[in-house]
Amino acid sequence: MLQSLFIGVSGLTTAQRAIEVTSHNLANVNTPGYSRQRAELVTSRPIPGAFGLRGSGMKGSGVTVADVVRIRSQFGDTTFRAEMANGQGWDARAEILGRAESVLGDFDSGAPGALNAFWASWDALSLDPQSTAARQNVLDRAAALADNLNAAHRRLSELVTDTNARIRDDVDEVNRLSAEIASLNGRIKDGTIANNSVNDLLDRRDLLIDELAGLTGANVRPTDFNQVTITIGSVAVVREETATALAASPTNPPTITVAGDTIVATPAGALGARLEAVHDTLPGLQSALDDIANGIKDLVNTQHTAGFDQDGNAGLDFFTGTGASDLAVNTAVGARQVAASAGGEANDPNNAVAMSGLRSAAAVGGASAIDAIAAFGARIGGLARQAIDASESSQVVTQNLSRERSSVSGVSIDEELTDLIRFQRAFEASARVITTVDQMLDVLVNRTGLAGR
Amino acid sequence: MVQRVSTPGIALQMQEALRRSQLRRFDASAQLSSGKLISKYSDNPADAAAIVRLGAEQSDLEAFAKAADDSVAWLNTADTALQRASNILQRVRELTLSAANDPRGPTEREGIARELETLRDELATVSETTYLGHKVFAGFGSAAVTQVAGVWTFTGDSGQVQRRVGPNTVVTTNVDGSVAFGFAAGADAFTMIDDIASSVRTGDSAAVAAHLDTIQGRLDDVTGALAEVGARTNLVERTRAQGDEQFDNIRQNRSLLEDADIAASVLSLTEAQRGYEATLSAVARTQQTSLLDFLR
Repeated sequence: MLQSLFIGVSGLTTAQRAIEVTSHNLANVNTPGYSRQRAELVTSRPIPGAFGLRGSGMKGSGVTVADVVRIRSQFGDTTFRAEMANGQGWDARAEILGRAESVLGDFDSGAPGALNAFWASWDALSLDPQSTAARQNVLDRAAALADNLNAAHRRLSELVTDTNARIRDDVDEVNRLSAEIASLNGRIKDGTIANNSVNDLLDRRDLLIDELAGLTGANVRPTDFNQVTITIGSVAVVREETATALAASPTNPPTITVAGDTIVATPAGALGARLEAVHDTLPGLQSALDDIANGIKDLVNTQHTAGFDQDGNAGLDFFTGTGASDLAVNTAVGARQVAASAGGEANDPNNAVAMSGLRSAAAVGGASAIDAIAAFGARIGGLARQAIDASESSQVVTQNLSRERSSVSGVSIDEELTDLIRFQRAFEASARVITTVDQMLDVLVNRTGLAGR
Repeated sequence: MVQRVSTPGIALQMQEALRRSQLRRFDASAQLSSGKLISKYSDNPADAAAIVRLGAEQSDLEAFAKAADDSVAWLNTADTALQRASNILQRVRELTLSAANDPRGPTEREGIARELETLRDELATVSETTYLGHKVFAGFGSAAVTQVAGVWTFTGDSGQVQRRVGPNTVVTTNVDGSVAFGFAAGADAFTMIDDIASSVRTGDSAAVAAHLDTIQGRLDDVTGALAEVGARTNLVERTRAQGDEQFDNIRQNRSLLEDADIAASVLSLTEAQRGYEATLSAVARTQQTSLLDFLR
């Protein structure tokens, strides 16, 4: 009889425990990274009965909660993280290239417009080579062109500087995440060894790993006692309870190494994309701008030095500089020194005519100056377009994977409420059993042996 | 394929749907308000590069048109001056013929000689014709013709004043004064007139008549110069007309690439707005009911 009482009690406590799990799920329905938990109910260990009597042997002894299981798909996590790394990498590229493509300015008022106005100023000069106003106009348009290219180069440099700073911030973030993950690893290991449920700690760690994966494309490998080892490239930033910090070299552009060592880490993800930008993409664009500036400078100088200025002196170099950042009109060239004359006389406009013809001459690698600028714009535009499109399509995939994960691990309010109802009923039923047994015991205790009463 | 719908899963789906439809609406409205299909290189890199090249062609054609107008003005000035020179030389020939056929008396001969000298001075003025302060017949020099103690010299040079009037078209706008006025042939028109005047004064008809060939030579030189000026004027005007047509074509092409069709943009925006409203309605409906509403 008492056995039934205990069985009833096991029903009560088990229902209570199950309701705790359900209420935990409901409370955390909107918690980011939360995986729903489920109480696993099993029959408790049966009790052996009298030998040989089947009816009273291996009696059931009620119910118990064997484990609180965390519903989570490892595969879902791995694919999600891979896509996050991919997507965040493209996001970073799209952001950087989006800024880079604006360095050339508008089609009409930016670099193309400045170049066109420069050529036109020589046409205007050829109409009146002794006009001081026309000469000054040539110098003004040339200065505007040089300024435009200076500014474009400078904006790219600023972009590099900003991205370098961002990279250093990213490295700090990586170190913070890996330190926290390592510490969680320790607590999870302790909990696992002590046979405790570590579900919530696992959720927190998975959330941090998601962030780390997006930032660096890190690889995760489970080890014993529910711990993980995380590697970026070939560098293990987290090995169970130990976190290895990374450092960005003080040089610009920075290289990422293990702190205090020379082993190089090659991250993917957003950090990898930023490193690629400052090491390859942006310097490549700056170099192309330099080619354009030098091409224009050389072309103009060759023609200018072949001509004569207003005083009959041979033309000086018109532009000075080593690249796009320092292209400038030669300070020694004033209005009188503009070499409009082909033969030496001040009324001769023919060098100005020749100058204006340079607009279609090969300036940069066989292409005219305007073609080179158009190609440069198209190049950045193409890279930016690719990044934007890839970022968008990755966003869609990431959202899908997120929904898949959520479909496995997410809490469904309807499900939990249903569970709540059934466990409540189970509780009521077990309580009923206890009441019944109590009544039966009452009969035994208070009413037995009172013959005839 | 999702097999189970969780509460956060629903929220994720709604958020994604809203994000996409808002983005579409935002892009459509940006296009309509700017009126541009392409405002930056990444919108369409190949078309953007084409727009840059077309813009350069437009700028070039504007510069060439200005040069062409200036060239035509020069050439018209030269034309008018050469016509005047031709008229002067024809009057000289008339006077020479008249003096050769009928010597008349000393007073009349003196009158003819004086008129010849006036014509010579008029011709000298024509040789110094300017356009906007530039000498038309002096090359790059500052004066075409000088006279010192009765000796006439050409003081201009052979400089050709050029203009770029088309992408591959360069024209000379001035006239070589040494050829037009006979210096190149060694028998310039001024010395010739002086000689005629002195022959007239002597009353030697044969000497006067001997100049007629030279006069014809000078007339031919001027006619030759006029023909050249005419040909160049035609070239410039043709090039200018071609340039104008090309300018219109370019403007159209550029507009095709760059400008958004207003009607299509309005339609896109309307569709995007409808789509957004539909998504909002779906979100509102889905969020409303759960099991909680049905439990006692």
